[in-house]
Amino acid sequence: MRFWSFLRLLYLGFVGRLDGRALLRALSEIIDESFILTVVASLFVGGIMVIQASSYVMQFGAQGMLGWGASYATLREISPLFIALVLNGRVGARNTAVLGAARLCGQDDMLRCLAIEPVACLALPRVLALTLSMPVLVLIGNASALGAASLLGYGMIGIHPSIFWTSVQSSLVVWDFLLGMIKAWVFGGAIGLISCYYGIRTSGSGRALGRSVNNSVVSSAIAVFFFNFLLSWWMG
Amino acid sequence: MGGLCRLLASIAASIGQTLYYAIHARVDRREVLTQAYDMANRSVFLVLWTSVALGLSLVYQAGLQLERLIGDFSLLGPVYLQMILREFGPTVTALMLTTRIGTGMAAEIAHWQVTEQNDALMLCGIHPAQYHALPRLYASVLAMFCCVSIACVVLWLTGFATAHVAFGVSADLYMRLGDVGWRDLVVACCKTFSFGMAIPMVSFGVARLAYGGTWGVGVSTTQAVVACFMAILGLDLIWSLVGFGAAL
Repeated sequence: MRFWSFLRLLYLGFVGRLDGRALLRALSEIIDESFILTVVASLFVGGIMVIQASSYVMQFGAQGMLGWGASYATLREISPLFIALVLNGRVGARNTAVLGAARLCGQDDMLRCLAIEPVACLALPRVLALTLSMPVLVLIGNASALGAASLLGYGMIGIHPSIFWTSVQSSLVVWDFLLGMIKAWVFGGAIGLISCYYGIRTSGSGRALGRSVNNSVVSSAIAVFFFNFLLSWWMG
Repeated sequence: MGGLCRLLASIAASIGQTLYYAIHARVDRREVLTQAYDMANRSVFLVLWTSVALGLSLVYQAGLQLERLIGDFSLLGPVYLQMILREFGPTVTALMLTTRIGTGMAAEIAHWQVTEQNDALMLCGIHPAQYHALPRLYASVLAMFCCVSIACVVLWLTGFATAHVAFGVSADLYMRLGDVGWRDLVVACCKTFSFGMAIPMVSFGVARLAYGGTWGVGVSTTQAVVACFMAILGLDLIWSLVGFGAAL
């Protein structure tokens, strides 16, 4: 199946009859199994960013800039990027594996016999769920990362969290936060589309399924970096 | 919770077993070099692509902020080079290598596990850690150093291209190496070395828990990628703390 045919079938499924319950199930699955992972990854990211910012803050004696130094890159770049890569390994790989296994077992043919289009039934809820859940997870990740950064900044170099948050509020604009959210939304869509496409087009044996999962994860990672560059450049 | 404890125990056992055989067993150098070549070769396009995309966007974002807050670009090159060495070069490359080679490693070892070939190895008196993890450990460290070196150079050069085209920063202003100290290089080497060790050991530890046929192999592969990501981020935090402590 070509990518354009896949997109067309998704569109027809979307404007036709979208299974709301399947979408909700996919959404709750993603949030449920990725919540802890996102929080833990974001705590690490927040810690790493504040350590890197601290060395410059101490070098220039600009304690009031720690919040800006740690949060600017976290909100706009690092948090959406790292959470997308982690979810790519977790949810994207599983999407490809599940859809690929269904195809290898002939379940897609069985659905067609029942007059159900497999792309609309199996792939569409997963693509939409990943697109919708990614901004929510990045929002949770941003909060965790900045919380960890403010606490670690206090523990490491004694900058009080209130000074940290004042610096965040005064030096960042709403757009910095929104750009991260837009990136998350685009990354979620890209991972969902690519992972489901690789799953749907799997054919052959179990070995082919493994190759599909690997190709899906790699292609999604490439797409994430490509869109990250494109959005950073285009939206500033 | 029980599953997580089992996973952590298996990873800890894998680390112990691999390090034991690294000290006590001999390894085929040709096999190590072949695997290292294969790993680096398979990952080099991915590393190049991500480094170019990341280098372009990071320097553009940093330049915009410097323009807005200070209006002076003299810090852009040196600070960016420090950030490449301390953070982005090793970490992003390790995440990409996990995606590329960690999945393959976990899938292969998990396949051996579910088809009981690892048990057959044990019957022959060969421990799976010695057979699977040890050559991959050396190969992964070698491949990681090669890929991180390439990534750092590409990140720095694409950063220069962006700074020059978007903000008119000259080569003299950008390429000042004086601000980069030996501590930055040591931190970069420590991170690269530990990430290179973490990927095969964590993948092996996770894959040893695989069960249930091809479905189990898939689950194990996904778990290995996530566990490697977490290990890399955790090690990154630890080395960053060590580097910060040493700089004080």
